[in-house]
Amino acid sequence: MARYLLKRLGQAVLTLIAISIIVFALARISGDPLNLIMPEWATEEDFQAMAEKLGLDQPLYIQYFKFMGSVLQGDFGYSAISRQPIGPMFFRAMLNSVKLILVSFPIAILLSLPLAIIAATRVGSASSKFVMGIAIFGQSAPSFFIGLLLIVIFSIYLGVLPAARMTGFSSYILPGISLGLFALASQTRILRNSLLRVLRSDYIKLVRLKGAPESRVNWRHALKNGSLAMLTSAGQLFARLVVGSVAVETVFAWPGAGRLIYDGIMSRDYALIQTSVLVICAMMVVMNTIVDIIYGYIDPRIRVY
Amino acid sequence: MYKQNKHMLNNNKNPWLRTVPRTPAILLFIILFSVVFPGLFTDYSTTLADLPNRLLPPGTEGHIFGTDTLGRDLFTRVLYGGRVSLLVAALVLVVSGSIGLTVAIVAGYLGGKVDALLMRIVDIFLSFPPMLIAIVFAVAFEPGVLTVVTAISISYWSKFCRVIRADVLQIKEQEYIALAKVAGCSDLYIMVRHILPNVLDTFLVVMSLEIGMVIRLEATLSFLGAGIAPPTPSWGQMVGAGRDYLMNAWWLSILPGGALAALIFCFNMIGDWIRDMMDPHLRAVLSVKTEKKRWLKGISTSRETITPANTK
Repeated sequence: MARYLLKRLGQAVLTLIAISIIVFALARISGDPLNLIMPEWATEEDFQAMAEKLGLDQPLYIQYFKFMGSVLQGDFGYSAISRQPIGPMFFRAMLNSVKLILVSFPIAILLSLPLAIIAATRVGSASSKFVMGIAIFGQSAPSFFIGLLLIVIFSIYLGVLPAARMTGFSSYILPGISLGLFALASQTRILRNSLLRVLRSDYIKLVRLKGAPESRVNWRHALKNGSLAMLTSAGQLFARLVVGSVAVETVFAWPGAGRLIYDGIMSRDYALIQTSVLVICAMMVVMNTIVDIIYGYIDPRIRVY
Repeated sequence: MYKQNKHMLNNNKNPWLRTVPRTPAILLFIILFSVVFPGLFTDYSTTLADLPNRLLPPGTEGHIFGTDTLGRDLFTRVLYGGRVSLLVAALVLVVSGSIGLTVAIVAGYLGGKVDALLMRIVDIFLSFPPMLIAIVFAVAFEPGVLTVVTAISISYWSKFCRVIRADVLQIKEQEYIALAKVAGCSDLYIMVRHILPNVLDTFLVVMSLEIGMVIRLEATLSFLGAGIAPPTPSWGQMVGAGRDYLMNAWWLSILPGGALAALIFCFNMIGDWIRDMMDPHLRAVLSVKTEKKRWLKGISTSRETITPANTK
């Protein structure tokens, strides 16, 4: 177990380094970053002076180490467009994103349990087909489309739910659904397939023979064993939700990290994008590592790998 | 009983064809056909403005989907926009598929240190979130087809690699590989001539399962402005551009978005079917013999009711 742990951690560190190198390198490859921040009337000497001031005339690897050094100390530099320090701006936005994710993700996962049970136990019935239809649709339709569709139906035509910004409890509903629908759909399908297999096994028959009511068979016994596949995918989905929130937050003008990234795209603010992507990737790597370690703890076979 | 139930049998000679999900297949065919040959369905131009007729709702005379802010027929733009989405998806699959295949076969076949090293690299690339990398690319370089394809492929090749390598490991143990080695075939020859053809069916399965996600990713990127740039119409980009007019002209965003959802839905369903077809366990379940047995017993033979239990 210790060996697996070390291996997994080492891999996480390597991944983070690789991502930071890629993000850093892309900025430099795409052209002189000075061109983005210097005004048009600047002369050669101005460029040279600015380069020295920002440390851009030094060899690339020195620049990289300086950059990583300051990142690890918490200094993320300044946004080229708004001239604000990126660190506080980003973390404030991240807080808002987390609020949205914390609302939509657990609901999606919890809702997938009864849905998957319905789909697995009443195979072929109308309710099962309905559930699977929702699942397939939820996995296919892009989240920004779902968001816009919900806005058109509920905010514009029915006028019952707010369409933008973080105002109160009701403003969480539409973005939450848009963000969580994909997770709900994936989980339902995976869990349903897993349950189908589990429900035909012998020990389930034994539990039934012992006289347990069908509901207990489904919820306590079948679910426990069918949920292993679901756990790993849940961990990955959580990471993807952070990424998926970029589109949803843009649609709903939610003041989160995703929206910040969108603003960065629109204004070509590379410093902002760089930091945001780095931090989000780091979070995802950490989450995946934790999930893998937990999985290694639960299922001993994995450790052999 | 035979005569009573005869109507339930899908009277088709080919056993595989019986299980094709009909709706997605037909819908996919319609979409692909109309996107590849838009000229057959519409005469409008995608770029010529017709300002007197701007923002007409769907259903107006001559414009099934309505018109956009410049008066361009939306139906035409949707049809032409589909081409770009499909083109990008196809390119991504070709590029990342080839890289993934090559690395998987080399790593799986050669094994040992090469395998370990390559798998480390694959794991690292596997944990890159495709969308974020693509966003970084788009801001660093100009948005466009090349940028998008490169960015998505960088993350996606590793997905292919993982699955195919597992398959290669299985194939490697087969007898004909050992025979080939004894006969003096070089490693390269064995990899290309023996392993590659046998890996292709797994490759097909992964490809058909992933194509939906690739289309979805490209659409999201274009929506955010980090994918295909105007004036080239792409569905995601049209949805993004139509956002400002959601109050008055919902069709600008909703109709291309609906086309996206429909296309991805079809690919997902077909992908599922291909995967079920290739799965050796399920092959028995979905075969002609079991279907005939159920049909004789009077049990429904439609695909939704098939579970491993009632196909014995």
